[in-house]
Amino acid sequence: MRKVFINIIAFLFLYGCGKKENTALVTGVDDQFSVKLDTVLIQPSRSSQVGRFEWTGSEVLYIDHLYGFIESYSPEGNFIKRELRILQGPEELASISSVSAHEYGFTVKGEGWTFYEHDKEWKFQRKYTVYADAAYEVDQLIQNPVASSTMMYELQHYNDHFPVSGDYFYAKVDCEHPTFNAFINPSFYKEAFLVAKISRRDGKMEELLYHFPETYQQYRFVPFHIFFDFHIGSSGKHWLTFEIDPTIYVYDASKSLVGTFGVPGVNMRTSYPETRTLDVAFDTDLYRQSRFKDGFYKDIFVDEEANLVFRTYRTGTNNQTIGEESENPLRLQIYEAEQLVSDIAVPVKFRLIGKVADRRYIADGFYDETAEKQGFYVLSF
Amino acid sequence: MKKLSFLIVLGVFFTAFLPSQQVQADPNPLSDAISLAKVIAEGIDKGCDNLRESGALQKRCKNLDCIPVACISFRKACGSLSDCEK
Repeated sequence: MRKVFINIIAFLFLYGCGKKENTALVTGVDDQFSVKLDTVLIQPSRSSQVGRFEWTGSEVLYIDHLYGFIESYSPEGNFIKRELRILQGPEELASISSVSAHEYGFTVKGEGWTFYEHDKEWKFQRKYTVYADAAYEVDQLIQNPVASSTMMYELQHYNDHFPVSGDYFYAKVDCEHPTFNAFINPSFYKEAFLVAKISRRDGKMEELLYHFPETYQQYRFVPFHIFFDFHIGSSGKHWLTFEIDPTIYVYDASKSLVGTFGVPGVNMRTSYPETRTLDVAFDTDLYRQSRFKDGFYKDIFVDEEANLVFRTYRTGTNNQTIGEESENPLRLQIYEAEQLVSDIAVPVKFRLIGKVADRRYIADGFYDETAEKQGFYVLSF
Repeated sequence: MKKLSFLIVLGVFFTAFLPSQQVQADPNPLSDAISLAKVIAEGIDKGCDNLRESGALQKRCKNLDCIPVACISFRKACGSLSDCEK
């Protein structure tokens, strides 16, 4: 009987609360401070291991893409409750792609370009589909591209996130017009816009922001490295990082460039293969190879209060086979007052999502389909 | 919509058989692209952007996925990811 009781206690301990494992102590490049990375495992009611974690400001959300639900956990990994799940009705949420937590509640991206607004209690408010003002006939636009027209742009699917600011959210956008695109047109790298400001009332693309930096003019062309990332601080400042450019660009709330900083990563493979034809767009092996073998800058996260900027980068690989991007090694740079203070190896899916406390951060995510385990990381230093 | 799919696939098929012009080559990709643009323009339904509201907008193959794109996209149509792996 005693043995059964011990087993029950052990079971509750393991599955009733988060389990910490794999604490790694890693040291910064100049030993100014040491960085600790913990993995906090969670046990969802069911899990496909295909998902992502997001931070609400006080809780960690686990979004399971395949099973279609959102559950909340404490920063220690304890289950709190199931917040949302997909439903079958024609007007209901049919799939969950990503979630943005903000001061008014939650913005959930569902199927395609449809978004759902929920209040802080996860009560449904409204839904809308992102659209562009139809200022042109589509066939006219195909013959004569207009870089400033929102009709030219689509939501960027790679590494997407949708930070909310007031009545708007911001989204990465891409343009694949037959003649105005990253594969064949040098003016694309000067004139194309990168971020759309979208109304949370009705989904209208209201404004287009930012262009590629001058660095992209050195190439003809690098269409598989046009991705970038941005972070919006509480002051309204925007930080941008681009895949082939070591510089981090800082814009103020009025979208004027106010500063640049950043240094190259360690041992990055930056001999980017150039392509000049549209047919490479259909060559999935070339795309996959670029994402696996090349070194490039990836995500950016800013703790404005502490004057810290975190940026990840992939180093690239020498491997002759073709692998996935998730097998391309990842490293993290930490800047304090715009000076590099640390550069460390991190797990391949590491992506900072929020601040828990001073010098303590949450990151997405650990997924092991074979062992059926998943969890988030806690970075502290 | 079938006409649009057919024409996009035709356009992609057409470009796939153009000679591959890689790095350091002196290509003339713009004329190829203009041909493709004409094919796509003929196939796009009027009010394509509005079709998104009803969920009728096609998905197309892009970067190892089958996703909704802008009406003007040169990508080929797909129903699911398996269509993009062919």
